[in-house]
Amino acid sequence: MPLKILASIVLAANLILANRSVCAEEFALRFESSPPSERLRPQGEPATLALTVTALDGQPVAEGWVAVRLDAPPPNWLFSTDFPVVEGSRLLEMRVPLINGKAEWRQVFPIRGDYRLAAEFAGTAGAKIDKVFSFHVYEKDPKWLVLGGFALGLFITGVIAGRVFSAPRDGAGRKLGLWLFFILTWSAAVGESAWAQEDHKRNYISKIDVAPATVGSPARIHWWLHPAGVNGKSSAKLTFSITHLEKNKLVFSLEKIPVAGEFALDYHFTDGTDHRVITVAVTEDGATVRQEETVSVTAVAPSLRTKLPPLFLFLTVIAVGLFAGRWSRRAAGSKLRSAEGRRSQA
Amino acid sequence: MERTAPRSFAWSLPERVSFLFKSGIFLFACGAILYVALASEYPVVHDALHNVRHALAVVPCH
Repeated sequence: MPLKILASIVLAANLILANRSVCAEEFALRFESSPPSERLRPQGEPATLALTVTALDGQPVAEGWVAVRLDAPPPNWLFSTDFPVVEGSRLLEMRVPLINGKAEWRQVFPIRGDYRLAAEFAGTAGAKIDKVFSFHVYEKDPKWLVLGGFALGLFITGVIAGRVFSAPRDGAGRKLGLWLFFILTWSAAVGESAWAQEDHKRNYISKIDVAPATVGSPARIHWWLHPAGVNGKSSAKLTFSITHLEKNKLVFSLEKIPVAGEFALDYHFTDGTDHRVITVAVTEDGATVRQEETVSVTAVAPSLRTKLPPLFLFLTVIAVGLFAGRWSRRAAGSKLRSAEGRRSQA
Repeated sequence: MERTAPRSFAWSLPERVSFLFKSGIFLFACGAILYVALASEYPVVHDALHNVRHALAVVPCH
């Protein structure tokens, strides 16, 4: 008897697995970004990200949902980015309906590095397919230039200090003069410059609940739409956006997704400042319901572990400059002495 | 005349030791300034140098 049960369980498992593999082969899940990932930059303009589910014949699937999880790049072993608290954290988790086989949203990437996007499609007939996409976001080029300029300024400061602290080999080193002072002030200048309401229109009530938001972990955002005085939910097309108030910049948005009276997502506010969540829902009878909620995000200071490596880098550059300055001063003294020796011999 | 003038501690040391001594003090001062400017959490300093920190790519800010 137990053998029969075991055999039936194994058979059922085989059938489920076989069905799953057939489902996975029947659909294709593609990810694309606009602009392409090579041109994505952290804290740039919001990129349009799209997941497309097509059948084997290339036709987009008519109905279904996509669960999306976006993870930030893992931390580097030595140097951090300017948002170390965000590194390795979950940026976004949501489940959105497909429109013409496509789920699309706009998002700003907070830091450079390798992002990981896990997507899982669930069709109406129980079809499922999941896939993980990885893409790299490069740092903005000007930042490397500014870092190079700053390091150069520190190196020149070290050279000047090295020359000042070193005695010439034979007293010929008092030629630092005014031009070194100008270089010092110029490098310092380069371093410095381098761098609910509720719309009751047609008797609808909407509400946004945002869990306490702290940098470092995603916060749950939940939106509801009810017909006034009725216990139920209203179907609508929802436009959802999050704006960084200090920069007055859109950091995330979803356009006109069909929802059945509610929508929720986990969003990681990566900057510890005020943000505004705005929802605009257009109901089936044509009413527009707009709702806003301001979110105060709690900032988190980076750890000492992430602060020390760049300081050691900058101090090393100054130290190298000190020894280069000493070497140049001593070498100049030696040349002068040998020149004077030749003159006296002549 | 110059030889009879009193000399400070660092200047009376051998030249190489004097250089290392002065360089050490200089590096310590630079480290302190860099820490305050780029790593401290004092609101006034942080707000004033916020953009500089972000512009330097490897300096953590948030």
